Amino acid sequence: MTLTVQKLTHYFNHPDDYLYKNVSLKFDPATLYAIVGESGSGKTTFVSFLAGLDSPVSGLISYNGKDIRKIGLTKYRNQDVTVVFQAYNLMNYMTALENVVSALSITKSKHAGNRQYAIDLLASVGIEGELATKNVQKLSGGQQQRVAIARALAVDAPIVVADEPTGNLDEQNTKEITEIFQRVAHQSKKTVIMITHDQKVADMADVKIMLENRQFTVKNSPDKVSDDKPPAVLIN
Amino acid sequence: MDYVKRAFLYLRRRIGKTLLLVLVMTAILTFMLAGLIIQNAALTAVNNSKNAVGTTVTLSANRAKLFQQNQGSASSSTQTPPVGRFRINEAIIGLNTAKKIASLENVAAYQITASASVNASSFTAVLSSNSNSNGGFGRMQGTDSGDISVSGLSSTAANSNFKNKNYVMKKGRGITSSDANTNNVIIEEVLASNNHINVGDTIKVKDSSSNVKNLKVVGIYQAKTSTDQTFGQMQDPSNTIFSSYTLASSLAGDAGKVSNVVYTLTDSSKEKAFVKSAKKIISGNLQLTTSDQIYEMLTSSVKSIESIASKIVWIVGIAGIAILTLILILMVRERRHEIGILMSLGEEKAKIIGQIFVETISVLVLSLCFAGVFGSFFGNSVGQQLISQQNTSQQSLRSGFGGPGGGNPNQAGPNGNATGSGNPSNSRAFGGQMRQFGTTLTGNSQLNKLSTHVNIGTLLELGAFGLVIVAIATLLGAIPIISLKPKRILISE
Ligand SMILES: Nc1ncnc2c1ncn2[C@@H]1O[C@H](COP(=O)(O)OP(=O)(O)OP(=O)(O)O)[C@@H](O)[C@H]1O
Ligand SMILES: [Mg+2]
Repeated sequence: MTLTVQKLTHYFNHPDDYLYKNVSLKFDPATLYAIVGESGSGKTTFVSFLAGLDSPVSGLISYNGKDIRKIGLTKYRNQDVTVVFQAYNLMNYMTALENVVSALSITKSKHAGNRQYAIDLLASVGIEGELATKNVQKLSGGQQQRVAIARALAVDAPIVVADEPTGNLDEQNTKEITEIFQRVAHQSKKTVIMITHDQKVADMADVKIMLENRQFTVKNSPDKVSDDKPPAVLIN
Repeated sequence: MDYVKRAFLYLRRRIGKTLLLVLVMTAILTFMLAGLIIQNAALTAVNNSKNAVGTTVTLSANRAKLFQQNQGSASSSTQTPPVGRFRINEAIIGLNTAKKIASLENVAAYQITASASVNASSFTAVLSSNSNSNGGFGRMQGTDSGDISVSGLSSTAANSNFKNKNYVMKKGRGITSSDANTNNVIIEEVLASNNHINVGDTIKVKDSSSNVKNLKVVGIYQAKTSTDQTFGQMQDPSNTIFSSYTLASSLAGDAGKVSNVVYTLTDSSKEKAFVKSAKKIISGNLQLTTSDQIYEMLTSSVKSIESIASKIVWIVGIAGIAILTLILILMVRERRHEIGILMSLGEEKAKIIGQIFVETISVLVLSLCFAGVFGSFFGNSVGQQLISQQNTSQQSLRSGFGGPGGGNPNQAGPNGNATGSGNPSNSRAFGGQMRQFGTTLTGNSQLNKLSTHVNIGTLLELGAFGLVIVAIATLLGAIPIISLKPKRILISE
């Protein structure tokens, strides 16, 4: 159930302008990872590879030892990974509930067709009652972000990738949402990888991955590291 | 919530967009449907007229030849149309000749027609509202022409005007073959009521030599419509009386001679052989016209309608495809983001396109229903417009046509010989006969009514066409998007 990155290299135009070169990383279940780094350092690009939304110039990404391109990127996205974007990315002609229900159906989740499950999940992230049946365009930014998170948590995918999920939220909401991600990692035993600019959020993660000067460095949060469970490994 | 449900949800939640697309599609489909309807109706009319003409061969005067002969001897110094000036006696078919041909093999039935023009004597003719228009060439005849035209035939039941219910019997009975050699006539309702004439009454007319004849009224008919548009200005239809062809010939002073005979053959494949044998019997002043030739005449106008219609279908089709494809492509591209989300959720590409398909096809079906309603309306009015134009342009063609007479004669049986004076024929006979041709042609060719109804077949045809457009446009719009990496769709904005 491990997601591994081996010798990943990526650049857009010229090989000398690479974002990163020969990066190798390992992501384990039941862990919350935070990726931090300067704007433009390539965080979004990196997680889009993890989410199967794009492919790097070179390198191998595998899940359970299997190259995700072999799994098939569409199938990988459908079964193994789910994404929360900075800009919500909800189906804007649907209600909150319909967004969750349709995602359950598309991913053939074991909860597909279970309306009550979707309602409960939305309620657990604070979208309750009338809010759930309102068109998502009539919800606030924070509320839309919660719907997007509920959608990601509702599906069966064991990997959750989130790109600045708290970027548009106030302090209180940021804390609540991050706690939800913690729960998903620790209680639902999922692999949760999120990008953040917020130091406080990064500190709540089990593992902090920093992208500086085209280099990745891993820093396990001291109070969460134990010898029997090494939460993150930087393979080099 | 599968992709079909998503499609209907989208249509409902984006109802404004949906309706707009329905509107555009309905407009395009309506124009295309109108074209298809006219095209189909024209094709049907061509086939119908083929059926109506049947396998018939018409014996008539060879007008061209007669005309030449008259031109040679005439001392006309005017520029007026020659038709009324020259006294072309067309009633030159001897009954014996007619019957000799009728006794040839493969003749199933025949209808003899003759006509005459007389003056009302014991009654007065119906004053036509067009009497001062001087429009038709029949009027040019001046004072010596009669005000009543006598249309002689074997049987009114076999006459196209009666068959098409343009004329219907009101009282008494129609003319049948048993009326040969009698003075029995049927008159029009208006003429009858104006003069208080009833079935059983005797009326008096004066022929061209001013001989008074007694005619016995055996029936009254009603001319329901003045269908005879071509020659409508010439004479009020109320002033036509029908009789046996023997009476008409004798009134015209052509006893024993008739103007035209239509032979119906038992077998169309025998047509050539029949014409060949018949030609041996007739003189050079007569001609035989086959139904093929008549058919050509009848259908030429319908064919031109058809070609206009098919042009409409093509032009609107091409413009429609262009407009619709463009709109659909733009609409799909607008949904880039939505498609990206679906892709990020791992939705299959086929289902993403499937959703858009279901949406546009639903819109198409709805538009087809509307187009079915509007299309039949437009098809009808455009079709009628075309018909009236075609009829006008065909008028001259028909006037010059000296061929066939009455419709399909179901009445067989030899009719009696016409006996009577040998007076020169009344020149009005020409006009009278021409009117008869006109009536026959319009009746047969069904040019007055194109059946511009929408049938399921046409709608399906159009639906299939629409489906192709929708499929092409959806694919053209969606493929460039779904072939992108989802990251590029979702993150590079
Ligand atoms: N499609 C592309 N073509 C060319 N360059 C790109 C493309 N996408 C991203 N880049 C460049 O790659 C670099 C990394 O972009 P990325 O979005 O991954 O940064 P980021 O770390 O997520 O930044 P931020 O914190 O602002 O979100 C940027 O310099 C960006 O301009
Ligand atoms: Mg970013």
